Amino acid sequence: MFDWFKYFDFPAWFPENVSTFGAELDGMFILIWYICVAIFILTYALLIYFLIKYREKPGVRAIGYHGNNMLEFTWTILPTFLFAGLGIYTDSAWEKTKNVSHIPKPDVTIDVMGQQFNWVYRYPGADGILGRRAPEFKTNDNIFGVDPKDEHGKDDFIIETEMHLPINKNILVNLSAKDVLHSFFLPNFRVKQDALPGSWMKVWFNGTKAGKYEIACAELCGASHYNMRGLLYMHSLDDYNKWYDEQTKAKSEQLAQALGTTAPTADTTATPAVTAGGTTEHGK
Amino acid sequence: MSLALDLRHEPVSGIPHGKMVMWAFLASEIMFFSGFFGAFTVLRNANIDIFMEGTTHLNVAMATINTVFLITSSLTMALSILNLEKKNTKMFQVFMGITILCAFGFLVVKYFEYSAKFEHHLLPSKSIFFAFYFMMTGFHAAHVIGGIIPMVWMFLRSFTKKGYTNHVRVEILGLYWHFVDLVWIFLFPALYLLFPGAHHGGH
Amino acid sequence: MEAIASAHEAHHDHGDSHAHDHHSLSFVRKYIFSNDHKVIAKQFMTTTLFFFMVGGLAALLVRWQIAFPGEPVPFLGSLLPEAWGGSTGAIQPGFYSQLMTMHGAIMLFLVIIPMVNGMIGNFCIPLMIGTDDMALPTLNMFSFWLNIPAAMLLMGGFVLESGMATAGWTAYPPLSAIQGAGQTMWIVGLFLVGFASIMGGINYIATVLNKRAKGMSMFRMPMTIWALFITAVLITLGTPVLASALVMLFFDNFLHTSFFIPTNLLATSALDGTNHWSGGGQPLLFQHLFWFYSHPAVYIMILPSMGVVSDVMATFARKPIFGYKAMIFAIMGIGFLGFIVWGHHMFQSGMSPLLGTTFVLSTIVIAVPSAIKIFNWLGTLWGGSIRYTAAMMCAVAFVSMFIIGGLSGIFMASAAVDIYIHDTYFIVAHFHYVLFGASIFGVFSAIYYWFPKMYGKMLNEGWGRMHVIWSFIFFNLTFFPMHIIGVGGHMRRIADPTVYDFLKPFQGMNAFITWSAIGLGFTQFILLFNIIWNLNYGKKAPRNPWRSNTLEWAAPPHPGHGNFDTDITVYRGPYEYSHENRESDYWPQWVPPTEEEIEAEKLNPSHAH
Repeated sequence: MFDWFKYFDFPAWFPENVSTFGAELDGMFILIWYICVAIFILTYALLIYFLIKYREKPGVRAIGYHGNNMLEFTWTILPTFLFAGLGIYTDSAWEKTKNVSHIPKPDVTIDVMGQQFNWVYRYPGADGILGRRAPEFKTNDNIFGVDPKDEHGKDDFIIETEMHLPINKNILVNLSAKDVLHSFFLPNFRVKQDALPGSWMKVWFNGTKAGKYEIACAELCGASHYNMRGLLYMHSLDDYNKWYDEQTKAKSEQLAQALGTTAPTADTTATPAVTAGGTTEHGK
Repeated sequence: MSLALDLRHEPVSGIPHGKMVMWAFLASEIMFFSGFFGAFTVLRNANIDIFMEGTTHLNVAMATINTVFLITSSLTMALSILNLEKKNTKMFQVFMGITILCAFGFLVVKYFEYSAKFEHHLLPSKSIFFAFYFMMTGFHAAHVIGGIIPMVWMFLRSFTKKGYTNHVRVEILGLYWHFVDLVWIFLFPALYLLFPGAHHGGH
Repeated sequence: MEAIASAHEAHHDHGDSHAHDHHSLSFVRKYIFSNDHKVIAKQFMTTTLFFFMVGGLAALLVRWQIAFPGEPVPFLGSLLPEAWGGSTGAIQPGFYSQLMTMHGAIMLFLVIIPMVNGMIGNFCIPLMIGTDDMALPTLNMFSFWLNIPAAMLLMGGFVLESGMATAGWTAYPPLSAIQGAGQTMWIVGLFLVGFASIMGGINYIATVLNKRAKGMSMFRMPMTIWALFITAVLITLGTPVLASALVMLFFDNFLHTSFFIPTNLLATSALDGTNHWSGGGQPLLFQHLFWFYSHPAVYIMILPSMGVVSDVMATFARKPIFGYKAMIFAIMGIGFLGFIVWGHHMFQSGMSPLLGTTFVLSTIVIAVPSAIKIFNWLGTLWGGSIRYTAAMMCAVAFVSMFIIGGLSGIFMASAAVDIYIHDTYFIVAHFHYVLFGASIFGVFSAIYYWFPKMYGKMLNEGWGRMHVIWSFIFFNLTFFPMHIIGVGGHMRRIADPTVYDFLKPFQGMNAFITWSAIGLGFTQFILLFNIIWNLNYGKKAPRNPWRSNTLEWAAPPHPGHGNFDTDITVYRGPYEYSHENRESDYWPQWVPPTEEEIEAEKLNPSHAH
């Protein structure tokens, strides 16, 4: 019967939250939502009451009243405290999610690059260390600008559109863009950060549930902006390590082919990508 | 209205309308150049080497001559206003004439400066420094041209039979001209002088 | 006094025409390149209503594509060229970007800003402060006519094969810097619009400061004038910063400089297919400069409407505006604080999070004056005797929609909550509540309220009320659901939401929004018809149809050049409604007090200004 009521209950429309800090951010939305509903009811009740009660009636004259300073003072001070309180209250979550100095020790670090019109990811490869990058190395064949002399960069593997990560690990994403502005938006993780060409942003999150999630671009980046969809597969640690090994193996075979020798596969896959204890194998 | 309506009364603030509009316009102009200077500060700090290298290509001698031209013209502008107020048309013409000459002198020097840059392929797209150099001096030069036009008009009008007596207008133009001068006083050190010792002549 | 009496005579003899005054003026000088502020206001009204339809059509096409992606546009689809409509007449993604950009740019820069400043400002300022015209009438004329080539450039890409600008109304580089001729023309056009706006603004400042009638002190000015005055200050100080940003953007786009282009950008210019940027610039710098103007611009768009609504409310509630001085200080506060909150548009842009915290705090402070205004409007209604004319209903719609728009703003003022809702339809809902629900309803209110003075004819009240009620309903049906899909994560500016699985459940709601938007669009024809019909067949307006206090109602209906037919002296503030010492429930500013009234005031002083 009250089915239509859901249209007035904004918080019910959030997509499922699967990140550690998502619930806190949603909670803040809900807090503000309740405050807004209360203010809304108060002001609208007054407005509608006045509009009906004080409609033009024969013989009734309006009051020639110019205002009251005490009232003005009250409704200046009260909102100030309310809004200031809200601002201070929500600041801790802001610092926690966005301030670089508050980023927890990462278990997995990857590079993400937005380009017209898909997302590209660079994983640290078998050695677990991302190769050094600098803007002067950026070319269309090397969009991340990896230093070709850096040994750590040789085994880094790059994949497009589909991203794989383990659950319950702190993920650190170095975010940038190749051509124009993009915005890295993970609706289920409550993550959003614009990707700026020419600089690297640090974005972190920690997913709690395995599954397939969508990555969106939230900043206009051209005609096919709407189509810049990526996928994020969250795996259990074992599945992730398995996937990661396959990738490193493929990369080393590719490298070996390029060099014309057979790949020493056994060595590179020996160490798991991420250990269960969460030590940072490639968390540089 | 031919009727006895008192709607066109004296300005309430005592400042003539045109002058008031000019003050407001200059406030607007300050914000316009502030946008440039703000960007200049940010990008200069981010690209200090490029700016240091870029400065070496500029010709400080020419810019100094231009500074003298503009400061002189500001002074003669003020003198011409003073003389017009005193209804001393002859001296007004002399000082306004010098002002116009200085302004043209500024543009001629600027022309030589620009053509030297073009000759060496130092175009706005060359580096972020030259982007700022051409944009800021270019907009400043456009303002100089914008000042010359009414100056020449007033100057020529003063030779006609009717003469030119509207000293308020000249005053308003003077306000504008001092502003143009002031912008240069900021531009000159920002572009040419900020790296002492970095100069090896320039083009 | 003789002369004034004969002026009255002359007026009654010649009707509205004041023909004796204009024999010397040719048709062109009188109606096209006119210096008369009222003619310029009418010109602004005509052009902005035209652009309102153009921008509205763009919005409906955008909505059609979002709700029914890939389906041919009804009626218009077959007219679209191949590049825009494909083979079937469905909107192509590239054309979608153009429409979306044009909708935003037209509605903001060619509709709302010229409406609230050009139309309302030009018409009201000289009349309401009791003078004959602007300080510099010729400059005023240029400020209108510069808009025409500017608008043509802004939309100039329409005639190009490469199309119009596609970088959104915000035109963030590097996207806007690498785009083709349509974008270049857009930048130049917007620069000229800004210049026209500044020419108007500096003129308003001088007019308000210099041309007030005898007795019209600053604190006797109506709220409309105060709002327009502060707005003019914002235009004067804010717009040039946008102009400087646009100059740099133009250089980047056209001359391949690198103000906003970082080192080694891997993109090619659509203008000439090269990649010759030297690099070293910063894309974020543009956003800072842009929002330094565009946040005050939000107030440029809404403050005049706030002023109008205050005046309309006082008139039709027959009550003094509650807290006149508090309202003025609130406007001043908004005007000042408006310059230090721009960063809240950039929380997720990559700006330092510490700056984010700073901007949260300043943004919170600016919410307070808005709250003060809401409470003062409620206070004005309290104890009133409210007459529900179309203008009053618009004013009430303004207040109620501004409450919702203001409340939804609190969410995004908090940087932490903004992470998720940034660049979603929640934001779209928010600013449409403020810009359409508030600003445009304020403009409607102004049209209904001042039309009798502007054209000397009454608008049809019944049609007016129909227009307001249906606009109000369709407006809410269109924009309220956008909050919901915004919370669902629906991004702005995407041509086809069905690409994303998590947005598929919202397609029904998207269709609902689109049908409501179409309803909202067609409702506006009631207004248009009301205006056109009553221009020709409308009832003749009396001098003061609303029994209002402010000076414009002292002028004859449809005043000629020079405005007033009597000398104007102001004796009191603009809101002496239902004064306790008087029988009549209004006390116009220009009516000299009788001796009994002076006596009564001495015995029983009210707190008049």
